[in-house]
Order: sequence, then C-alpha cells, then structure tokens
Amino acid sequence: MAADRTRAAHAYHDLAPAVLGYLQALHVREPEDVLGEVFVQVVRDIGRFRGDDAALRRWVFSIAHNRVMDTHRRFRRRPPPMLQPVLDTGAAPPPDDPFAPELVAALATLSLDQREVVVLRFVADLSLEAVARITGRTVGAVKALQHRALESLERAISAYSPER
Amino acid sequence: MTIFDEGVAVSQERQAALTKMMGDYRNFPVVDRLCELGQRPIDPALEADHLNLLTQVAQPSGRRRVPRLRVAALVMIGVLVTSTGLAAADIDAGPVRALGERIAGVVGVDITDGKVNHGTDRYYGPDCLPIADGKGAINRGQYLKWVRENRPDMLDAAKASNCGKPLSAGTSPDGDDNDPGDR
Repeated sequence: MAADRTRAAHAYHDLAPAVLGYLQALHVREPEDVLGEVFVQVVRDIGRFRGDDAALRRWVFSIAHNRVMDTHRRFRRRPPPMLQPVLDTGAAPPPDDPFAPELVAALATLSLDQREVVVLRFVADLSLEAVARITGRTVGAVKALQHRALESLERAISAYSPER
Repeated sequence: MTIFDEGVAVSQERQAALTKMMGDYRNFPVVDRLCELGQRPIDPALEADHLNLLTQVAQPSGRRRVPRLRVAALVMIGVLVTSTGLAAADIDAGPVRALGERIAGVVGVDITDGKVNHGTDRYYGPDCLPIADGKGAINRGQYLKWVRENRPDMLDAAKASNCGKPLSAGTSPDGDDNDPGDR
C-alpha cells in the first residue's frame, strides 16, 4: 500500500503537467478539477497496474481520455467548448491563455478527432501506437489525422489575428 | 494494387511515401510549441491540494469511505431539509442534525484560532488532525473515532491530546468514544 502511494505520487509529479496541458488544450471545463479526478483514479487502481514508465504514461492518459469522453457524454445536450470549434463566423473565442493564445485559438479550429490526436501525440508525448490504442484507431489513421491537424495548425497560426 | 488516398487512386509505392510523410512531424514548427504545453509546471498550491487529496484517498479506509460519502451526501440533503422544516416550525432540529451527521460519518467544522465550535468552543490546536476537507471534528468522540478508523498510528497521541475537548471549565480528562455529541 505504501509502495502504491509512493508510485502514485511519483506519477503525479511526472505526469500532472502533461495531463493538465492535455486537458487545457482540449478546452475541458475546470481542467484543474479534472486533473485531480484523474489522479484519484490512478491512486485507486495503481495497485493493479503492471508495466514500465511508458505503459504508466499510456495508462494515465487512457484515464484522462475516458474522463474527457465522460464529460462529453454528460454534456451531450450542451456540448462543452471543445466540441464547438471556433470559426471565423464569430463563435465564442477559446479561453484566454497568455501562454500561447494563437496556439490555443488554432487548436480550437481543429475537429475533435484531429485535436485529440495531436494533443495526445505532442502535449502528452505519446507514441503513435499508444495514441492508436487510447483512441481505438489504427496507427495509419492516427498518422493521417496527425498530418492534417499539423497542416491546419500551421495555417491557423499564420492567419491568427489578436484582434479576433 | 490500387489504394485510394482521399478518393484519389495511388500506387502502393506512392502510398508508402505518403504514409512516411504523414508520420514525419519534424517539418512542423508548431510541434515544439505543443510539446511546451505539456511541460508547464503545476501551480504549487494546486499540487499541494491534489497530493493531500490523493493521500486521503490512499488511506486504507479511504476507498470504502468515498463511495459511502456519496450516499451520505444524499442522506444529509434529506436530513437538512427535514431539520430546516423543523426549525421553521420552531421545533428543535438538533437531534435530527446530529443523526444526519452520524450517518454521514465525516462532517467537520471550521478550525479557527486553534479551536472548533459546535455549540461549544473545543480545543483544536496544531496537534489535532483535520478529519474532512481541512476541518475539525465536532467533538472529542468523533475525533477519536475518526483517528481510530483512519489514522490508527496516531491513536495514542490522540488519546493523550485535548483535541475536541471543551475549552470551558470542567473539561473532562477522559475523552473517549462515549463522549456524547453536541446538539
């Protein structure tokens, strides 16, 4: 039990920044609270987890991914902002993020599938295979989504205007 | 064999080249910026709150206590509604509230200046453990009960302390589980 608690604490120290970045990049409501929920589940189940650090990272982000999907199902009638891509037609802008406003705005222009793949790949630092397992896709499909998402992001960043 | 990419027929060789290109993300400057999003440090206050929460969840009885709290929350709602109604009718709701609190099991009161107040000021200094969300036990009996169930390693220290004992004159030197709760 003590070893499990220690391992869970280490997992938090190592992975919480990436998990929070993942949640924020997906425009999840109250990402700090969801971060806590993710690691509560990690603590509860870590006694049954077996694997190396890479497997642990994949497992933690599986939990985070499922939380995001649960939030989506719970708010099905009122989709959270992450399901409403920001369009030039004047939809609500994404939350202010002084760190990278043009990047956050560009992410909001992607489809949910594209955004999820590119965020899991690079914000969460997961391999193609890990992203494929978490999202239930083939590696080829992940590659295709990744490529299109990155192209779209580059275009959106180039076109970004702070006055919007 | 002909493969279709976005509706356009391509050869296998072309498909292999496309697949390789799609997997190569190094040509996109935005990738570095995405990586940075996952490397920002957590606010220390948030981290401390989370680690404290995880410690509570990881307690041996924590796993049992969390599901029970969900049910207890519903019970508390009913109790509070009832007690509010009784109060409106000028009927003493104290026993109902106490019952609800006993069912809930873990209901704390704010700790202010080293004491708690649940009808009477009681000692709750830095040597006393918070029992729920940083709050203190309502009385001596609840405190010792909580320590016995959640921190048995601290039971001796808890029994030797004055945690939960009334600060008014005549403090009982023998605090135990039989200490009746305040109304």
